[in-house]
Amino acid sequence: MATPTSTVAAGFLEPDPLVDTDVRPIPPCALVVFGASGDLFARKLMPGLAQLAAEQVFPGRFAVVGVARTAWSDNDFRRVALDAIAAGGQGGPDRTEDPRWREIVSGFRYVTGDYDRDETYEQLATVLDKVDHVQGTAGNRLYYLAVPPTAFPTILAGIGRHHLQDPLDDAPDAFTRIVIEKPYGTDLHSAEELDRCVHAVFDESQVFRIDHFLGKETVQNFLALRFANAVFEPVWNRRYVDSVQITVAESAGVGHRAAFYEQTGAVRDMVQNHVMQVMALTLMEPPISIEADGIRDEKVKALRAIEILDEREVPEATVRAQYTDGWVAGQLAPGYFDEPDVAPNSSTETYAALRLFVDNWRWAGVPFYVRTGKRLPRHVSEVAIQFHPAPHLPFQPDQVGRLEPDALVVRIHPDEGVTLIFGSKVPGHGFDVRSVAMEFLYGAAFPEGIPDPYARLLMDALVGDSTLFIRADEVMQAWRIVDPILEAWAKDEPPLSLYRAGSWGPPEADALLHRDGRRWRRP
Amino acid sequence: MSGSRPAQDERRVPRVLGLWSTTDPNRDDAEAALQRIRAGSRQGTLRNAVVSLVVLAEDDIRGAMATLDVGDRLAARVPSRVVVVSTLPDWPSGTKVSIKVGVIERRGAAPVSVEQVHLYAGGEAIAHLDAIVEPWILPGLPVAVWLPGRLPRPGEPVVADAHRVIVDSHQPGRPLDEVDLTVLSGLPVVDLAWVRLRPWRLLLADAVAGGDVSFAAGVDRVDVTGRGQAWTLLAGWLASSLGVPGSGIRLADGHPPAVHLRARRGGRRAELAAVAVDDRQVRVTTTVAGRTARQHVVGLPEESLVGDLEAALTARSGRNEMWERAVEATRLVGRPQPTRR
Repeated sequence: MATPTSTVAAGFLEPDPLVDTDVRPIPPCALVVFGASGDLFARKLMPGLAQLAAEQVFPGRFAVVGVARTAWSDNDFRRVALDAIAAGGQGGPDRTEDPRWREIVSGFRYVTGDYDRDETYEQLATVLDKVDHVQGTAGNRLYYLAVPPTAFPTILAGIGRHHLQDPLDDAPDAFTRIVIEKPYGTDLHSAEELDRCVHAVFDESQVFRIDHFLGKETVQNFLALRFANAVFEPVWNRRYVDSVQITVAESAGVGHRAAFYEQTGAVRDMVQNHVMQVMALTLMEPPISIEADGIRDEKVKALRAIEILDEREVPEATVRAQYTDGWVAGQLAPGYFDEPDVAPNSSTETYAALRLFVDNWRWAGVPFYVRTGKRLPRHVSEVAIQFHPAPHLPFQPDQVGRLEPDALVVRIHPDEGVTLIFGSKVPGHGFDVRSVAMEFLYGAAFPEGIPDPYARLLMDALVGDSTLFIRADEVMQAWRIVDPILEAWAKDEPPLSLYRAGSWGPPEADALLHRDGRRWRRP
Repeated sequence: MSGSRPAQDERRVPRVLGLWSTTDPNRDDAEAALQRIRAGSRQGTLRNAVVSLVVLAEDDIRGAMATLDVGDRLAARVPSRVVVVSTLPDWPSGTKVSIKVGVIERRGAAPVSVEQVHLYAGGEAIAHLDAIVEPWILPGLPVAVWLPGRLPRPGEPVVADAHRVIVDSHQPGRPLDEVDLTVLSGLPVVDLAWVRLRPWRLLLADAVAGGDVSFAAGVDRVDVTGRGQAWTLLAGWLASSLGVPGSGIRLADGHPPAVHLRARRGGRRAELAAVAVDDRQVRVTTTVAGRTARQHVVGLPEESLVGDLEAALTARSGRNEMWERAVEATRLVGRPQPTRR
């Protein structure tokens, strides 16, 4: 996101006199993916890479080196790469015949090995050396940990033991970066522990903690909406805002991920990362500049302002629940207990609702209602800013009976866009007023489609722009907010509620807002 | 050469919701006609144009029709109202308008509305084009003016008020070194030839820095081969950006397109050769002291006028000093010399 003012593209050896605003090649680089035989690489990273290739982003000097336990040859890996794209990734176009993609795939290399064995890293070093010479990747490395979090420390230690993070003797200015997938720890303590492992090998400036939510255009549009327009910012505060509702709802159940989900739950899976990031973008003060640390400094300040619930407050400010069977989109869905790999006595929450307050001048007294869950009626993510009612309505009560409070709704998914809900006169005699919606749809104004979040984030990591990646202090602050909630929940406070699959959550979640004289929006 | 990503769905053309035409149009009648057409379709009620694109097609009616076709396909990528203006000096003084309203339906996505206005101005009315065009511009949205086949004239009124002026410096029969930058300076010009050259500019920018040997400095000879003025512009760009004097630039009219850079680095001769293998691929070879240091193939996107226009409409606004320097430097480059086959 940050636009370099110099003509020195990151990772290049000399200033490039040919670089311009529309011509900014990414530096030569070897992308090393740990977990290359896994689902994440095939479903998310590969389509992202293919999209970048189609946009002619990659220079000739780009290589992908996969590392995983699965015994594959280079050709097996290349075939999987082409198949992943033929499948269209996440519904994306088939780019298998694109000569630019085929050219890149033809240079893919693969290392078979266990992450805890030194031979794996020795072999990787040999392959990288070869790739530098044959494919001209100039010693630049982007490591990507597309593996379960339990493997992070092992791989980090392996990289460190074999000095694969160090620049080569003949390329002292080469860069080395690492992309780490979520979840980043399971609580504050484990996140700090992981961070120690990371920082034993990499400097913070080399670390790119990825949350694909931040790669979504609509999430980034928060920055444009708030800070490129004069019209919204003056009302973006406690004086005009009554409350904020953040909804991240999924209609799917846990599916085959129950083993993972049992250890995670809705708060660790969604709230600690996606929801906290969206909340930080909603709360933050205007940054001095749209550069990595300018934005991340403000996000951390915003997260620090969120009140941390104490043990006594958790039962009245939070709701946790599990889905039972029910109908979702016309299909009978099983209850959580009936999903494969779910423990018979599981107390893992599949739904969480929170009421949070923010201790600063802008937001004091404004409740932030957050809800996330599985098997809700729709797959939808949105932030709704609900405004105070007009201080005085010069109408008869029956004329404004259908008038809702004004609201600005930023939809992250689906139908990405912004809706402003306000009152309008109903045509005809009399003076009836009712709520209407003024809608901006991303897909209508920009019909070419919204870029894949992984393509965007990969590109940023390759050019060294960390704006859309999460800094260590953001991760830790988010854990400080959710840890007390998880600790209270572990003591069964409040008790686990139940909700029918296909409903918007348990009655306790409705009560959370009713107590404040409010109700959940229907997104 | 093509400046932007190819459209997956460039063949997606609008479904026509309605047509309307009249002579010496009254703006209110036209607006009422537009509303009537829109009201007949639920999808047509949403107007989502983000720009008015005015095409000054002059007296080339066939060209104007082709432009309308391009506008149809462009709408799937940049929702726009396209206003094509044909000027017919031999007609009686007056105007005529044809309007087409359509919608592009997309599975699982919002429909895109399309509006096309073809204005004909005849006789003395041509002298008042700005007044003729003005009522057809969507209020509050940026206005881009596209001049197919020509450059702006000094003080041309419709152009003077545009947010973006799209030209093509690659004009058959007119050498690039005759482009008068004083007319263009101050205008927010986007040159389609520059946009089409983007893949080559990108691969050369990538090859010049950070490879086995850098060509960022010390280049004393540039050879460019290609058909058409765009290659002269590329040579001008390389000359101005790499600081190569006119005597070090050779421009040849030939095929396949190729760029050779020669430099002296650390007492050794180095050469960078980028030679088109076909329409979609360029082979880039770096040679140091006569030995091949590295060779790789770079893919090129498909050529697409619609894609180039999209890139031109969405390019950053403001003066493009690198392009201006490249145009200026074409005077040093000279005219292309024929090559022997």
